[in-house]
Amino acid sequence: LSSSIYSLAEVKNCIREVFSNIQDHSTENIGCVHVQWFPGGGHVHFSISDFGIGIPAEIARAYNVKSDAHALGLAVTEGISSKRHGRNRGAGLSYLLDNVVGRHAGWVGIYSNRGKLLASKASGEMTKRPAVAAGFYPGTLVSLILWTDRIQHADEHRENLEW
Amino acid sequence: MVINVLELVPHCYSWQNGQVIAAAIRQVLDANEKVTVSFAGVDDVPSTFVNGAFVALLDFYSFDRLREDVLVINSTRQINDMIKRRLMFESQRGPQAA
Repeated sequence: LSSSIYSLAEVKNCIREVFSNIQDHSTENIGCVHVQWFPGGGHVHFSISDFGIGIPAEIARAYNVKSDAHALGLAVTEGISSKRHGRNRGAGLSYLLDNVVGRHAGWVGIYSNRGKLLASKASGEMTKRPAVAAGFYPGTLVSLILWTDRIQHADEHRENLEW
Repeated sequence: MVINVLELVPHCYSWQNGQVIAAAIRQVLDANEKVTVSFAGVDDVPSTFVNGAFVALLDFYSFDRLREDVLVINSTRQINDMIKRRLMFESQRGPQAA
């Protein structure tokens, strides 16, 4: 890729956030990742999965959910987590959507149990569409697509935090 | 007082790594001094690290005190965005279960 590592700092972190979620929430302690670059099409696909109980089952432990799709919609809202303790505060999936979709105009699909949530950007606005999935996914699959010509460039640059 | 995070932890990945940094920050703040946290050598941090290092401090100090007395230097766009995002959200949400 022609993008610098600094341009992809947030994406790198998004992958880490998904693995943190597996560690914090999944009944399994193993996750797997597959990445494929399609240079002709100018896009990169990432898929990260575990075979735990799934996001809807986990969210249902803490919230009244109407469906698996409803649970996925809750799970991508910042501050919503089945575990409201110090280390995990429901920030990971909303951060993932804000950066992959919001910052880099990519695409995100989350498939878990009988729900799916698809997020993309249209007319400058992010849309999140929770829906009933055609089948059942035993665990959680997070898929990301980044278009290389949409990745926002960033240089190596050190800065101080300013409020 | 300057805290170089990589002198205290091997990397900034986990909540446990963050807790080490939070303990060092607390020592300085409890002495009523300002603290400077340097991320020299660190390119990016996940939310769980920031929860351990900075959000956990909201149990002891106000958001305004942290904003005034904890300076972050040698950082990156991603690190600064994550610290601001997490602290601003959690300070508005209010106290959390430990």
